[in-house]
Amino acid sequence: MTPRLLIDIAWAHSGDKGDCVNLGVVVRDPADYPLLLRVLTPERVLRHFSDICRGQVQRYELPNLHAVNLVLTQILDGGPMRSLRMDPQGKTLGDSLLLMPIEEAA
Amino acid sequence: MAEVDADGTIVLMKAEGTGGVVNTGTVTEQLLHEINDPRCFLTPDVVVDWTTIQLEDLGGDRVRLWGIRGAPAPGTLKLSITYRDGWRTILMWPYTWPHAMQKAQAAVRKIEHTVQRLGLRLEATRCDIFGTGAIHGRRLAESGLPTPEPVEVFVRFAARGTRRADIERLAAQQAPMHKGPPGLAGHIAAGKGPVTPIYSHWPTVVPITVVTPCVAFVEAPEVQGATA
Repeated sequence: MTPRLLIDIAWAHSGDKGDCVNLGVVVRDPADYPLLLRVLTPERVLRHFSDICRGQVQRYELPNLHAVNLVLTQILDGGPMRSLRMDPQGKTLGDSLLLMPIEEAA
Repeated sequence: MAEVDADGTIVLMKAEGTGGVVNTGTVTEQLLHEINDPRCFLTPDVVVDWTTIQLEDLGGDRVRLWGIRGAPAPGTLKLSITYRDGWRTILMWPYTWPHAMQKAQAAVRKIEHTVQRLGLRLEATRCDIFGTGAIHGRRLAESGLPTPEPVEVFVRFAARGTRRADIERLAAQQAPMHKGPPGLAGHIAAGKGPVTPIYSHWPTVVPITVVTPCVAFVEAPEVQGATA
């Protein structure tokens, strides 16, 4: 079956540091790692979160763990302690990322 | 728990019968927890290169980590600073079927109107209808997943500001929503919202030279009712 959403090939873990979050994204099958790298470009990730991210996206690759680490700045309305967001720590942002459609020509 | 060899090889494990799982999946997830650049994970003793870690599932809730490389200790220490940054309140109102969404939207209009009418000076406000995909936002619609109309929702109104009196006045607006849209299903805790001081967080690093380690042994008073 052709994967339709990111959740079909990966899972994610998110956490905060100040007004930044990191999204660790791991492929379920190592064979999908090249696909993950093609899909999760910093530009695509920033577009996915453009309504809440006022900063930038940095991507780090961890091929040894079949994972990437995405660091997004200025995304928590000032950080967990002062944020008015329902999820001030951004714990749901990993799940939000997994909603991303995989737009790739077969 | 971890067994650590002299060459840096680690075997992670857990006590039997305590729940949870130790496998390459859970270890990978923990390695990705709240990190920045994985090639230089800062600790006071060493800078670790996460991209050199090799994982091997040994079975029976045991995972071996080996091949880990690093660099000498950084010249900095991590520091968490917090500072006073005003006041915050969060008000919530639950609504149910029928027409839960319409009731919630009416409540939103009412509280926004009240804030204007009272002339409250607030630094920032935010309104969400929890239960309608408010957390994932437009990403839900873009995914194409079905989003059926909810039968129960929460209206949530959050505000922060530097003037405590204005935040207190806003917090007192929780109970009066009983005179708003019909079918308000009670309050979360009380008729008045909680007003809390904000201590904003500033995580940073400082040169190690500005920190002088100092250990003090302080005799604690005996705790009543404490047992060994």
